[in-house]
Amino acid sequence: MKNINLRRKIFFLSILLLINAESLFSNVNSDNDNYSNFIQQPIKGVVTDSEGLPLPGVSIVVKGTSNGVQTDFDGNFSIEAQSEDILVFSYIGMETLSVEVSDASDSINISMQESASELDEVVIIGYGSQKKSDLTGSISSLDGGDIAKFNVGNASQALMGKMAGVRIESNGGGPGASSNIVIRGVSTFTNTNPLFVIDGLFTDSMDFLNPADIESVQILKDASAAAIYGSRAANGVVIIKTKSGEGANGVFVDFESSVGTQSLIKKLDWTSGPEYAKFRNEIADLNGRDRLPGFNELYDGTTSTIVEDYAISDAPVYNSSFRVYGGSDKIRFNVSANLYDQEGIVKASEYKRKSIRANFTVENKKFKLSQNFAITNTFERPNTIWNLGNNILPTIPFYDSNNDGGYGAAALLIHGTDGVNHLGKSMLWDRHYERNNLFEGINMEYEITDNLVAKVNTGLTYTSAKNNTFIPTFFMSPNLDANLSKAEAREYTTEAYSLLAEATLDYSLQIDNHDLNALVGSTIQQNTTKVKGVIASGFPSNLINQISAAEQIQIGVGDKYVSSLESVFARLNYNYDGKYFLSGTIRRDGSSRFSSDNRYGVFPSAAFGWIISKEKFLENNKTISNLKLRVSYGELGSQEIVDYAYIPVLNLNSDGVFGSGQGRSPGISQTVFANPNLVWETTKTTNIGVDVGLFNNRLTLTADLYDKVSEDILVELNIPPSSGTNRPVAQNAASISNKGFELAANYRGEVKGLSFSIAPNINFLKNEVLGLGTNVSPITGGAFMGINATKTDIGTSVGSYYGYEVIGIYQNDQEIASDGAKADPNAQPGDFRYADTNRDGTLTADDQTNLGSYIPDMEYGITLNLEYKNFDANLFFNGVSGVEIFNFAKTKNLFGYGGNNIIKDALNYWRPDNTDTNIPRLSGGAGNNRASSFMVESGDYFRLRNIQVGYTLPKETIESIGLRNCRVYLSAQNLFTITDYSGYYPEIGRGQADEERVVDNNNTLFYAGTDQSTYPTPRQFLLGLQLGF
Amino acid sequence: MKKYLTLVLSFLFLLGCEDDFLDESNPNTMTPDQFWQSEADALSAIVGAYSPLSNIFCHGRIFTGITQVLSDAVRQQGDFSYRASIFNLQPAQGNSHRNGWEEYWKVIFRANNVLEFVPNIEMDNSNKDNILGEALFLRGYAYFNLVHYFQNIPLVTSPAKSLEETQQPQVEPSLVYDQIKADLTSAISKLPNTWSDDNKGRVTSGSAAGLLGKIHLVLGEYSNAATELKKVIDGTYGTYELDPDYSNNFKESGDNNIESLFEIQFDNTGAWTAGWGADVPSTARYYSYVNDLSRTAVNSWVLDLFLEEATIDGEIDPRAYSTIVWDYPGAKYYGVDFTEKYSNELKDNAKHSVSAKYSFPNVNAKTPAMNTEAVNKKIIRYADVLLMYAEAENEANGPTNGAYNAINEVRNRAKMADLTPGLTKDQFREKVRRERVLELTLEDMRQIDLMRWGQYPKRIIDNPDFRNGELFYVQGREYFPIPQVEVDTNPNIVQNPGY
Repeated sequence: MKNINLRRKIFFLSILLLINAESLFSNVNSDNDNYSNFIQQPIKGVVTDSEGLPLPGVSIVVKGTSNGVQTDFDGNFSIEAQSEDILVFSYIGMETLSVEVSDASDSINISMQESASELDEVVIIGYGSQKKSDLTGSISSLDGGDIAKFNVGNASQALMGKMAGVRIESNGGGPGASSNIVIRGVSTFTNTNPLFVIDGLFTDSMDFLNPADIESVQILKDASAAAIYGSRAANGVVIIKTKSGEGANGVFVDFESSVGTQSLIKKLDWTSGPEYAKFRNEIADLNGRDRLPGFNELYDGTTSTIVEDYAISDAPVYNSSFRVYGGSDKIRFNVSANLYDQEGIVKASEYKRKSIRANFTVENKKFKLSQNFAITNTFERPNTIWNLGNNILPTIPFYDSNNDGGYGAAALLIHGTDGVNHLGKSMLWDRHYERNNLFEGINMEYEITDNLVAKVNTGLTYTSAKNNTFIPTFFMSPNLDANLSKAEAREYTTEAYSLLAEATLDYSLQIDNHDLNALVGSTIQQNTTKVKGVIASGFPSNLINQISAAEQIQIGVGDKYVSSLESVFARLNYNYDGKYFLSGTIRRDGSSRFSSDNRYGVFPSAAFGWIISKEKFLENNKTISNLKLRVSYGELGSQEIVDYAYIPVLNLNSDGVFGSGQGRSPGISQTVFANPNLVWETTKTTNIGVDVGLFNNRLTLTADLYDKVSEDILVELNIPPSSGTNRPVAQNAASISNKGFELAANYRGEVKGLSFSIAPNINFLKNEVLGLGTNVSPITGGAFMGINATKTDIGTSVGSYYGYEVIGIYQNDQEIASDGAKADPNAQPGDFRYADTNRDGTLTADDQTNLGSYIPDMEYGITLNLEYKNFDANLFFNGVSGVEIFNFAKTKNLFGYGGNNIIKDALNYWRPDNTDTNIPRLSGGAGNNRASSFMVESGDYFRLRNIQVGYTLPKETIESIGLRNCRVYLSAQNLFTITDYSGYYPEIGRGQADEERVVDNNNTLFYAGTDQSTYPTPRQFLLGLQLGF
Repeated sequence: MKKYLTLVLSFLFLLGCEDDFLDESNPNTMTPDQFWQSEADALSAIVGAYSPLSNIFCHGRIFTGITQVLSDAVRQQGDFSYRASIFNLQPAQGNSHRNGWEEYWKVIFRANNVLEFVPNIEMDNSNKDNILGEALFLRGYAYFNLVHYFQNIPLVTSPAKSLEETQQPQVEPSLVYDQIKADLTSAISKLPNTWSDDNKGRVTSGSAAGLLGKIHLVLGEYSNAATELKKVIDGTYGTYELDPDYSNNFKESGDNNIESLFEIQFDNTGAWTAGWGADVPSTARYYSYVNDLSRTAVNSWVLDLFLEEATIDGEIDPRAYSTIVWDYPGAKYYGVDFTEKYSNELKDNAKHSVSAKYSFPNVNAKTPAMNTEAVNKKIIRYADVLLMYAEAENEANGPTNGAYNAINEVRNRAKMADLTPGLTKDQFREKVRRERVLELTLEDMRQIDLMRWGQYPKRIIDNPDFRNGELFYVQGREYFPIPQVEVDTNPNIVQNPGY
């Protein structure tokens, strides 16, 4: 019933849209450019400020040309221009002026107004907009222009390091790699991503966006800014507006294309075939075993297969986009298309994105309608297994035509192990993820009176994500992972659609010095997800790979999840005299994820702002042009837990085998407990901020100090297995604190025609788990090759590494004997000596300790923009400090001999004649291959993330061929990275290496920072061309 | 103006949304109140209670693997570093003992649900009794495994109704054994002697009686054991006989054969790629994993024992070839010469032997697909009943004719001569204990036997080479640790001594 109601409402609203349509489409015409007389004439004049004082050093340029001069000390200028030319007057701290040269006059006197600059910028806030100067919350903004300078496959990566307090971790460097966006620290255990509001619609991700379509990004960081989104906003809110035809009169065409190449930044020092054979023979000799024939009599002595050589090669990247936009005063449009095609530097990996966007706005008197439509198709082949635990041994040729599939692998009797050639496997498997995203939003606005505006916003997003794999028959060895006698097709599809309908009433009133804005609204949303999957096996040939052709359907699954949200909200913004600001928001949310008794949560917030610089004592201060204090407190909710968790359920798949035919009998059981007491998770944030503008706002500073505490965190937790179930149960349990300090600055200056801006930002964060709930075991994660890397416990930060502390290597039996019970019972000379951290005199599991975490203590970024004549440059540096990586590669590359190649460091293992080393004796791992400080390394880095240098061709050159704009640029990503990390690259994200992995990072929080088989981040060079017509 | 009025009205309509918009029911599965209505529900529920036994964590692979290597007969071999984690006995890291803990508790919880809800279902009374009897048996069997391997466990006889009720305290082991005996006694009276062909493999009164006899034996209640087991031998619970072909017990052709009182049912249809766990669509229900079972080394004293006494035809005990592979003429290991496969091991020990039971690498030319077998796994078979009876009778009444007849029946099938008459009680005891090794090695019984004979852990301590690598015996650790997850989530649990 309720679905029908929702549908009815949306249908009803769409009809309303049509009522007005006929009167909207009129007078659409573009301005025709006419170039009349080309008579050059000197134009003279004086430039003064608003108080009539002359302004020296003002830059005056004839628009579209490189023809420019500066005013002298008395504000005088003289410039060659012709009738109808536009003169652009610019000066730091002043509003830029454009003046058209008229036929009649050869002198222009200009009075420039102080720009309230950034402070007058309008910032999009929830369900409205506000002047930046009026903000009381903590909001970071990023202009589309900044994103455009950074060519990335995934739009979110362009935000990395740009905004203080917004951490973007890329999940490795694979093509189109997704990112985790964490605003002001991890404050929950499930989905840490913020809420994305794209053109008014709520989405879980911004991955489907073409970065070039983004006009602006605002990130609401504190509770008062985000409170209007109440239930969804505990992780912060990212508001994205896509480009429209706003401000454009006429029809314009932009085209951009770039091509580039990517390459591996760092190679590892793998052992060669002969080195490896020698090493294996040493092991055999040491243990008194026969040398294995594969390294001895059957080894040709020259074969040297280095996986890296087969896996990695330079790879191209190509990006092309096209945009037509424009309009008149009644209708505006923006249509764009984009094609992005990136091959990975690792074999069998690629990412392609195709997108189309069409935004229209029509206005008629008091009525305004806009619609935003986008379709995106992405095709991804990730290669998460190329460097997994087992791989080809360097003494074996990579290819072997005797094997089905054609790849070589170790053989038990020859090499002592049934090998797996994981790189070969990744090349054999046809595995891809394909997503289709459909996005349609409709906004309507009607001015009921001058003070009262009604808005209706409806929309639909639809995603279908296919995760398909076809595994042909192949044979490498009898190892379970290394052969398949019946080809297998695995096809999973997840379809998700979300319907949204909301309405707001916005009332504004200005009386004398009182400025009031009130907003009330309601919103309903319904999300439906349907998952289907089939595994089928047995195909007539490896070329036939569709399910219908399979001998047997091995598994078929289908599940559907529906969740609904219903909310009402109100906000009051008041200011007195533009000096004192007060803002209050309250939102009540209802969610279908909680039982009817616990369904609703109320989330209030309040904020206060004071522009001190407008007070008398600072009013005419020459240095301080702006000083504002902001204080806020608010509570936000989160409902991020699986659907239906409060409803008890039975498991229909507990079948059994019975009967003489040994068939399956259906079985039903209870395999999980429900929790009817689930309530909203709440995050409480206190924020104190200062905005400072100095020297006519040439230098601006924004500093924020926050204290954020999340309580009743929704998390699925183990219950005693003696209950008869071992599946975790959704509970409100933990609490997490994030305290931080953020500072962002911007300095703009001009020296001899070189204008520049430098915008550094830095933030410090302390993340701490305050509690885990009663009878809750610490959460372990990051499991790989039998080792758990992380443990989240009270007093640690989320996902901290946990293990033994290595304090050296036992050099002889005496050392072991003198340690007594503090030594591992199996310890031998050459083994790790572990610290008895709890000083109980015995080495036990309790001696494992916190070994650091992937959460940086400090993160910083610097954006530098330079413009000189027709040249421009954009440099972006970023860095992290106080971050650790759990390098599983050490397990694999130092202890994992037997299954894969090792790095040369492994040859330096401890032996009586080689004691000065930090690599333990050969022990097959065992006591040395544990989670320990040996595996943990600093992940600090500083890098030139992006540099782009552009040249804009002079207007007179290109106008003759009908161009409006022509710019060429060269850019490089990760040109240098300063790091001590020994693995491929310190950008790990939440990489969980798993053959079956679906790209879904919500469940891998506790894997963060563990380098299992992370895709190396490449270096990239690009050449690009932008054309405007 | 009218159209704008419509807009405002629609706006107000949107604000006033109806309440049930937020009621979403789960379309994917049933809720308990929709269940427990019919005979079909009762049947599904009892199948659900059997279900954990045949998954990979329990008898399918993991727990079987770890309990097997506890004994003096079996040790792990090879350079499989992953085994360090699979078979690591540390409570904090342990995976495998945790698996047994979890799976047997699932059986108990599901049986408790059946015992709680099925009595209220309107259905055929004898079918209802049968199902309740199965639940009682399964609960007893699961409790026996838990109390034997973990010793200090909670005793839960009705399902938890809320999360709070899931935190149960440990009880004296004797109380658990009392419950097991009560459950099995009650089960005997409720269970049928046999099932129709369609239902083969469900437990019978014979299963319950056999297990009850075994429990008595474990507790040293020999006279009760003898009485109970005698009833099985006398056919009180239907006919049980030895399969003429010993090896048939460990092959698919011997699934639910005449010798079987209780066995874990396996098939060969599930997709392991879909998850080796349980309770998911198309769960794999295979027996074992070649690496764990057929690559298990069997300590040489077992081979010595087989070679000690020839058959009446002067041959090697035929049971040897169904139990182990060693360096006998023509011995193969999945098509490869045994001597080639184990050249290094044979250099250290000419009697190196590996397990053959269930997987038969000496017969099969290739490893099976996915390294798994569909063959059912025997838990109680008639040969065991005969040997247990012989032992109990001897302990209670001395080596009576009945005791001789029982052990000789087992020996005769293997073409071994009758025992010499006139043995003393002690001599007879040794003969039975010896026979149990020859007959039952690799059937998960040896450690239980050593324990009840008071030879565990002494025999392991005296012979350090019986266990190796990560499985070295640590003093005081006769029982598994209570899995850390239980300790962490249940405030009423105290860790076992030694950990």
